[in-house]
Amino acid sequence: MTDEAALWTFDRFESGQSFGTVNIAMDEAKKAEWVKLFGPSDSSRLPGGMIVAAMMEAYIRAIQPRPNGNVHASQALSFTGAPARWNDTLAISVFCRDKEERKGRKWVSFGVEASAGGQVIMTGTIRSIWAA
Amino acid sequence: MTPSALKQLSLQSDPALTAAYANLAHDFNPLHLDQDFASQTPFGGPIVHGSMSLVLLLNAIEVTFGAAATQQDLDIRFTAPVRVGERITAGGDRTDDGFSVWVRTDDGKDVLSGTLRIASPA
Repeated sequence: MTDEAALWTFDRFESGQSFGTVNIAMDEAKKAEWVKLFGPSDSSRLPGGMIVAAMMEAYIRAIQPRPNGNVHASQALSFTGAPARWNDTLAISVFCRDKEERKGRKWVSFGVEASAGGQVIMTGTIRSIWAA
Repeated sequence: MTPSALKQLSLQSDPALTAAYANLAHDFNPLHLDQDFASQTPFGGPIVHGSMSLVLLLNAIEVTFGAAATQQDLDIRFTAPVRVGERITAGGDRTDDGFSVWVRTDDGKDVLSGTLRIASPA
């Protein structure tokens, strides 16, 4: 992605549009960032909250450049029960579910699917009020 | 046995914590980090990342049920902003088919609310 890439504005989103898959390593550096915020992670199992933070990272990395001031309005998550562990690399795909302009606000829903070791561990929907 | 409530967890927000979360989630939206930018928005100043409240809630769920594999569905709304500097607490109360979950500030403002359904509690 270059600086000249076009800003992702509401007008450019289309239902079903894919933003690709972002791989995020749950490595020692990531674990250190987690521990700094939330304390020790005793289990080798990856905390659900870490999967959510990785989902946000994938969503942000996949859709660039983006306007400042987007608002994360609501969120649905389904954890499948399949395990993920520290040192796994999560593969997180991001796509546009739909968009709607309502009361002057630009609502966009993004679908996400996170996998570890080829198994889906979580799916979700990020509903945002897009800023531009 | 399913508990009647989630174990509660609290977090004191401040600019350093918000910056650390921005690193963790790679979310550098100036709404959370830039006083000048945020003061020009309807929020009037920097607010905590919504997903950080959500992560706190997920931590409360894991403290309650343990880290064993669970199939669970969560559907939440961010109902009010959390100003950087506010302390938040995550919890939940059992309902007929799951939990009513929440995150609120010390003055009782709900900032996240929703539902949790757990298929296989540990």
